[in-house]
Amino acid sequence: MITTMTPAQRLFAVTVGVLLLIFIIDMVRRRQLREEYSWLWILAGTAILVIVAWPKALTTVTVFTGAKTHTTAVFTFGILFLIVVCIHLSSKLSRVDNQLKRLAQTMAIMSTEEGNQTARKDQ
Amino acid sequence: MQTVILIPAYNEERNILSTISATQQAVPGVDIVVIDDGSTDETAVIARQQGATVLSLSFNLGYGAALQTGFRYAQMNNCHEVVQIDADGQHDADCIPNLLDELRKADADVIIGSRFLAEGNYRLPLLRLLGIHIMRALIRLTTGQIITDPTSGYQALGPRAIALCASEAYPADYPDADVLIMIHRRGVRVREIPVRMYQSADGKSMHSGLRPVWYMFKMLLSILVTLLRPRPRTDRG
Repeated sequence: MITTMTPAQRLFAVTVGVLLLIFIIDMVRRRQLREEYSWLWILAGTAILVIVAWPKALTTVTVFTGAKTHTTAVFTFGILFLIVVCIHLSSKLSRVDNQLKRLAQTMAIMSTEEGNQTARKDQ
Repeated sequence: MQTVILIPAYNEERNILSTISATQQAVPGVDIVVIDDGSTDETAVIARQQGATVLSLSFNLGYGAALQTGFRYAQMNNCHEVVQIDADGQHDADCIPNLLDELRKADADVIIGSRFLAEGNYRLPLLRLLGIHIMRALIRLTTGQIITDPTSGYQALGPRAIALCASEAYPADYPDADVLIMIHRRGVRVREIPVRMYQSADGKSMHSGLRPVWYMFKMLLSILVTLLRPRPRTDRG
């Protein structure tokens, strides 16, 4: 049987959700986190608050996933969320890796071309 | 600049002098470009003293990315023929004229120097030999072409292949069978001729240790995604 959230659980979830949103928005404000990397965490914080404000949403999700308790559903979606975050970061890392490779190649070529031009001028 | 010899090198101060000298003797007057892949030794200094153009990468990018730097340089300088050769002395530079002759007369844009078509006593570790057999089979399965030495880094390339290798489609770590499949899908023809290869002078190999396992995984994945991708365009820098 699926039980509803206890007041203590709801209070804890609201605290975590609000603190997460404040922390992420403050990091963006202080330019320690770029907007494009913040959206997943803002989504997570908002999802927590939605679940607290509308507990039936969690019950619906729990029934939909076939879980027996809310806790299982929350953990399942928590793990899925972390997998999405890891894939997102791996994708960004690959892009940065390619950009770095391209930059290093361009620097090497430009440096040699500049040396060749200087040598031609000296002659 | 019409023809250029590309020599990617990483900490090859013991071999680079002899490799450049042998190349200069084999093809006098041809431009030699050494891509110093972030070496921490005197590789770049020796190569420069020997008269080669040196492209110095700020840090180690790996064999494929270093080679691609050379292709980009060749493309920027309107070069029509490239021969890529290893810096460690494994490739017999006397075979460069044969590779270039074949490139000029054959209707192919890539000429691979195959150690298995030539007479010699080149011995490979069992694991690497197994990898080569798997690559041969995959190339034959996907392209219908028999390539005896799909991991050979001794190649001559024409303009279409140079453009493709300078593009983003070129894999940055181990460009082997996946490149051959990629260029075949682009309509670039590949031929093989026999070349002499020797064991590395200092016994080093980019396929030593556990790397063959990583190499096989990476290569199989790379071939799979190469086949799933739309045909690459050569006009993208």
